[in-house]
Amino acid sequence: MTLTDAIAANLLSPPILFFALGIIAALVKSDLKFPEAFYSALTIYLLTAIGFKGGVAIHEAGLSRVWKPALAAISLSALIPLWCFAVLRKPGRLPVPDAASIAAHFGSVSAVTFITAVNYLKSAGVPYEGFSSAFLAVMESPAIVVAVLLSKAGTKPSFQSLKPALHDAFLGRSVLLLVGALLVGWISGPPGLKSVEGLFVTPFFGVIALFLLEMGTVTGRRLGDLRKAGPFLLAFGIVAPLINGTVGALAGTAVGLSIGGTMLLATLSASASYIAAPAAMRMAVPEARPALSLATALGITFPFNIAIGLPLFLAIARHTHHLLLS
Amino acid sequence: MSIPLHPMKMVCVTTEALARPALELLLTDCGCLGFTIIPAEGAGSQGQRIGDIPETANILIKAIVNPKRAELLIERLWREFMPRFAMVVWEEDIRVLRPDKF
Repeated sequence: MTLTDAIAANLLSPPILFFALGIIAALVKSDLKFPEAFYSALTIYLLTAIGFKGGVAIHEAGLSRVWKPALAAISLSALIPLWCFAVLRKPGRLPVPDAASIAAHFGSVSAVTFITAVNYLKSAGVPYEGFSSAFLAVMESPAIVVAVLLSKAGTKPSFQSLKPALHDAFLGRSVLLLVGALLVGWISGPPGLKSVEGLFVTPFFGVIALFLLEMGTVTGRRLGDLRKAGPFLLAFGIVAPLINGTVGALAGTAVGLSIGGTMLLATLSASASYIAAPAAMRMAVPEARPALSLATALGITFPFNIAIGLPLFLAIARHTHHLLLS
Repeated sequence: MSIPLHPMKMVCVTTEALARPALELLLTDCGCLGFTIIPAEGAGSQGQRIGDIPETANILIKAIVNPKRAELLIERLWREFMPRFAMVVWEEDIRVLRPDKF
């Protein structure tokens, strides 16, 4: 299958079509609206299920196979904000708070992009390391910490001033749920998975389609904010994931992940957070304009990644494997 | 029998839901004994505030306090919160039953 065919097939898959439906619903100002509580419930379900299954996979694979790629994932999350910040500051001419905030969003990760990527690999029949959701869990926080420090560069940040951001970075609902569910899955192992698969496994991909419908409406409502973002951020929202995804694919290949696992690490590196990062940066860097970072992460990078990025990162993962391992 | 109503102030704040933990601390700090928090949506001078996901949700806080505490609360909101959060603050003259509860 050529890359164009793969992109076309992905665009016609149920989650992406539902996402498009959500955008259309928002653009035509339909009264379709998920209650905030339902959105939160779906997020809790998806994070718990993905964390739990990842924990079971760690149980099966053993920690010795997980630590090296996890370390690579942590490093990627800590390093990506550095170059993003530099580019946003100099060619982008953004003020320090905005550059730091957007850098945090791009270094941190999007769980929904990851889950959609898992769904994509499943439907494409590409095997991957089940413990990859551990990367998702460890990649949320380092970027936020690095970006907060970048925003305070030149001043001496006290622990007291960093505390709210650190709290959100390490104990915010997405990180807490993911890490917690990973531990539960790791402790309970395959017998535990068997007892909950009726809820956490079978309906999972249907729930993603439903959630992407909601994400479409959320994205659609923010498309107006793209006008505030300007052409530089529009371009950044596409170029950054391409570069980060390629670096992620190189790192994944170098630490010995399979093609599927490499694609997942590439997707995580390319994705931009819109759960943990916005909350943490709002607390730590209140001068940053949240409309800019959310419009770029949600309005450009998220749709780009799930519609075009997924087949592209799989192709890049195949190339990096070919390049480094043959 | 006349109903024993006592004058009191109600301080209202519409703001980002992300400000909630810090605001709750402030209210307790200013001697406020109780408050009500309601999810809110609407529009302001800078456009529509979309409340569809927790990250951009908004809240309306109502706190009934005596005039002295109301002044302290509003002063601290103005100094410590308004530079950091999208926020509208106003005060209303009200009358309450059982003033010892405020």
